[in-house]
Amino acid sequence: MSNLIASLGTAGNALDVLQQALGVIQTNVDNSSTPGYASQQLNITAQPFDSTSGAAGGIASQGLISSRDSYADTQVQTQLQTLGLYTAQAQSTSTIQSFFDVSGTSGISTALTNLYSAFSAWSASPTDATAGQTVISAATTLASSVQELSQSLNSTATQLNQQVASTVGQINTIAGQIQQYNQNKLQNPQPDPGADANLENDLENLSQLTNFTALKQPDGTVTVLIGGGTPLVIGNQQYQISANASVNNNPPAANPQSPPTAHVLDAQGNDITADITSGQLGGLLDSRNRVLSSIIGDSQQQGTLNQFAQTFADTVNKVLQSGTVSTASGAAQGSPLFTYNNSDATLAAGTLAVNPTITPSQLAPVDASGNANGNADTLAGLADPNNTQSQIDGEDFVTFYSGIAAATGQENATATNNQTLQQQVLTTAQAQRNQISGVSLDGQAAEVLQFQRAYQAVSQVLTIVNNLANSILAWIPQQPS
Amino acid sequence: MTPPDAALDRVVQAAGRVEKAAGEWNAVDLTVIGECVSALEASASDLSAAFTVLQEYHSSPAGLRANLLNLKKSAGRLERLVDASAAFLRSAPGLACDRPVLYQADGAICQATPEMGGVQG
Repeated sequence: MSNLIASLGTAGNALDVLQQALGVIQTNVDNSSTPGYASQQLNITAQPFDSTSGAAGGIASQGLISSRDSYADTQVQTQLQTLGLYTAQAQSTSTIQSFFDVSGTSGISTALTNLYSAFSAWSASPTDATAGQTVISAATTLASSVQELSQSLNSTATQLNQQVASTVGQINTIAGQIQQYNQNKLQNPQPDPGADANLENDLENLSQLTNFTALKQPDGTVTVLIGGGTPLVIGNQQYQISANASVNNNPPAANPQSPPTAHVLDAQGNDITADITSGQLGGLLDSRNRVLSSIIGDSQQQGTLNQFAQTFADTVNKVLQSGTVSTASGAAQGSPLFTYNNSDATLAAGTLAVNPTITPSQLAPVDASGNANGNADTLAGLADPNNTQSQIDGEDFVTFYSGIAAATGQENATATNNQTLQQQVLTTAQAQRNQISGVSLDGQAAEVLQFQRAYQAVSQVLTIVNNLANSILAWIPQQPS
Repeated sequence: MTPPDAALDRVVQAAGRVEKAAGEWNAVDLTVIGECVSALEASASDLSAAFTVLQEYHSSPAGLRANLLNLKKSAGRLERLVDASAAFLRSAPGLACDRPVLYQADGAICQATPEMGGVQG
């Protein structure tokens, strides 16, 4: 009787385990489209069978085996971080690049060429008021173009600072979800494929935003360290990061009125901007604090656009102010053509304007030696690329300005190429990960079908065995004893 | 050993194979199921050969009936396990429900108890 009860118990347990196995297949199929889900398998082991000791045999469930592969997951996260970096760089530099006229029909390049032409015409007719007025008009157009570009770039800087703050907000939101996962894990440490899928999805979303390290702890929680090791989530504690836009005073600002750059701070207020090197946040910070700052300046550098504006204005003004003009009260020093705010090196481009009081008669074509059109000739000569007087860092003004535009274009081209390549790398990493952890609906269906066919095969052969046994049993009584 | 005794020996071996197959039944291991099919095929072959010899010699050795009944008992046990396994497989689509719909060995539909320790008709 005890053997019968043991056998029944074994059969019942085996069927129970079988149902769990089929339930796992069902869960896999249900979650085949769930982001971050890794297929599960039931770990089944044979139980010892020994009729003498009463061990009933059968099978037992040893819990779920997840196909999640941490190496594959980390690879995908790393590639996502890099893709986030390149994507943000490509988008940001595309915006910056759009402000630079590359066709040569408008913008600063054209305005500069027109001013050079005006200087040239004026040098031919230094006493012609119309030629003088053309110089003033062309200078006004150039100053407006420089100001307009400066304002557009500064506006972009503000927008990038806002995007940094927005991205930091998204990071904190995801960190909050991971913190909730950890809290649930501490309360219930049992494996939960659904929660694990959500966690993986959160980590992948976080990967698109920033570089981080995720460490699985023995208690099942996940520790997330952002950048170089700044805590974001540890156990059931979240450490919120923040963003601000400010002029960096460490080291002391050389340009205190420069446009504020973007900064990311940890929960204690420490600046961790330099540690954010990847993901969307890394790309935004790079575009704002490196690419854009190199043009519009920051606390430590003037910026190439300001350098261009200031040097050009100073060069023209110096020539004009070295000459003399005739006034009712006699000869007087020539007036400067351009003005700009020189209280901070980074304000030059944004404040570049034509002297509002200047008239054609105040332009001094006569040079210090009394040459009637000496200054006008000197200004016309600024167009000469080999003229050392018209150079910034060894380049003439046109080439220098073109260099700013070209550098921006190069940044965009590099980021766009990187983005395209990185998308391919990511797709490969995701495909490899899916091969390991993904749910194959065909595979799950085939598994069920295989069991069905195997059971049918057993049944068919078993029927033959039974029929043969019945035939022999039916034949026995007919034999003589 | 006379041919009828040899035939009885084959029936004993067949009964042993079926008993072993029933004892080692593992519904979720295709390898074990494949071994089970092979064992049953060998048993069927033994029984067929034995029956031919017994009919030829018109002999029914002692112990033949008892061994055949043992074989049928093991076969019956295995049949029920296979039927129940197939029934669980058919109910797989219902496993997501609170109370899975299951099939009894005879094909009748029943509800699983929450702890799956048995079934309710």
